[in-house]
Amino acid sequence: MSKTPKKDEFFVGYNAKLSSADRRAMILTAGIGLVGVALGGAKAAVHQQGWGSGDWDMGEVRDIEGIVEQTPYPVLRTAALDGQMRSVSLVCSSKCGASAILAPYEGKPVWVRGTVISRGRHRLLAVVDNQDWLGDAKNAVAAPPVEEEYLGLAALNGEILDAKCWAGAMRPGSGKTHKACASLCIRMGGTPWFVAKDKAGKRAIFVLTGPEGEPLREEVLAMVGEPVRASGKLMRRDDLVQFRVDPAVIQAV
Amino acid sequence: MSHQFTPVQWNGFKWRYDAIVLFGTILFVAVFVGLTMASRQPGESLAPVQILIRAFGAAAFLLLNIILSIGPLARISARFKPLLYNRRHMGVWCFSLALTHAGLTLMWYQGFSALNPVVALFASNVQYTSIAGFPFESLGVAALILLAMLAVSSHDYWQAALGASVWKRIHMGVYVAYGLLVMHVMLGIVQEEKAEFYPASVIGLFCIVAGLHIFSAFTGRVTDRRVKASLDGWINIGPPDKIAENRAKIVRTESDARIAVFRYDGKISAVSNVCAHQNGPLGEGRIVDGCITCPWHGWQYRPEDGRSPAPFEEKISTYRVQIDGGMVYVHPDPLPPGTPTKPAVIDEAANV
Ligand code: FES
Repeated sequence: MSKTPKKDEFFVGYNAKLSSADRRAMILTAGIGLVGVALGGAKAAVHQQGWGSGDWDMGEVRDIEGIVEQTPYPVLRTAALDGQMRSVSLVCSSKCGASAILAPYEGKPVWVRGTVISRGRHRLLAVVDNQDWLGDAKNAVAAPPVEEEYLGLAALNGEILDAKCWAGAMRPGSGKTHKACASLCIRMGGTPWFVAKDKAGKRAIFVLTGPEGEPLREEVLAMVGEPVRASGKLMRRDDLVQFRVDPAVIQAV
Repeated sequence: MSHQFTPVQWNGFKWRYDAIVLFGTILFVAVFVGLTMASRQPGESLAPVQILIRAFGAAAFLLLNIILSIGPLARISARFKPLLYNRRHMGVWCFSLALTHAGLTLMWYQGFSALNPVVALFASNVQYTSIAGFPFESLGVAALILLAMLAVSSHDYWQAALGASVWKRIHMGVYVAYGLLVMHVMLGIVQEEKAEFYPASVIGLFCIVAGLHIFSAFTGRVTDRRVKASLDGWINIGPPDKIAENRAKIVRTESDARIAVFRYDGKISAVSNVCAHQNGPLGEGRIVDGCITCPWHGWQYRPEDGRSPAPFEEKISTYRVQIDGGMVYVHPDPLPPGTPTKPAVIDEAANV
């Protein structure tokens, strides 16, 4: 059989030559298709929710001095200029936890090296865990006792999230598509936060703990990254507020 | 042309077709990324990887909808037939976009831990009984594996090796992948985003694809009804002059086979409508240089015995024909591929 294409309109398959009506139809189809594709891309882009104001400046490595406190997740307590104690959450740069390494330093003055993750008034330090990042403090560090205050009972709607992701490692660091990531982070040692939202959309951030202020991880994994409702006690420790709940009463909404 | 595989040739039309698909993809991703960045509120910061994850995922999904619409469009109007020819390239391209989306997701969301990212993906969320928490990622993985199998086997080589009908059945798997992806999108990004645009557009695309398939099946059946044989077993397909010279009339038998009945040189011959190459519709071809020529890639067969002229060795089934009382009859039982049959001679005098 001959393999030479015939110049004939019906050989659509292997002949480059379309009839002029076919060519017009194809040009029209391509034109409509491309306009549709561009419109679709534009619509899909502009209807997205916000990305959050979280930020992680990985370029600027800093040393901070303070007191290590792990009740129940690692923070570094530092005295601000006004004399108030500020808590900087200490997290890994990758998906792990810093607790084990910090344990021997509990309550002690240290220097820590890391990069700052911040969202709103919340500050975290991602320790540079691939180099020396921890040692005894070189300067005198103020160490007033932790100020603790019981704020009352609360029933809150919100989402359980990994502190680091929500505060700037991921943008957005919440929602369904982020659920598996948040769950992995918390499982591997991340700090669970409860990001509460009231009906007006006003947001408040709490450190999520067990009823006595103990750490929660495996217990909440199934609920991470979805809308949930929980009730428990609010307890302020310095500038962080803990939401102390029995994981059994956390419910999907 | 024997049984080894013969690649289908490239041509200018195909190059332009692929170029437009590539351009469309770049356009979509560029518009999406550009407008996402431009519509950022003050104080918000973006993660470029997360924007790309969304851009590639959306591009792959949109392209799959387009690919699936081409088949029914071509059945509804022959004008769309040229679109069929690079569908496979689009399929492979769609898989590449999906793979990029999946790779970025895995690296970004499941990387950076002591666990293997793939293990992490499946261990992170096991709430298969919940709708709000359903691990929609697993649906995407299943669809990606299917698309990978289809992409790899899309080459003509596999079509020749597996046989066109087995190949076609395997490639129906694209509908399974599509179903999985619709659920992947609905239980993933659509659940997360607040705007109605997202569920509306996914459901809208699904309705278009499903609607085109239903519509084309409906209209297709009207023009291509199964024809019953008369009592003696022969099918009456009407007078010979209802068939254009060097063209065929296609009949669908009760056992669902399609027969192409050709008229040429004052004779009638019938062969299977299915080309031995890639199942092209021979009855939509015509007789060129005395041979039935497939409209898809130009393979040829002699009308009298269904064999490709030497040196080629392809064979298709032939059917018995006769003319009686000015009507053409074809017997619906196929003869073994390559069986010589006697063409029915059109008696012009009797026809008057
Ligand atoms: S299907 Fe390729 S030539 Fe017929």
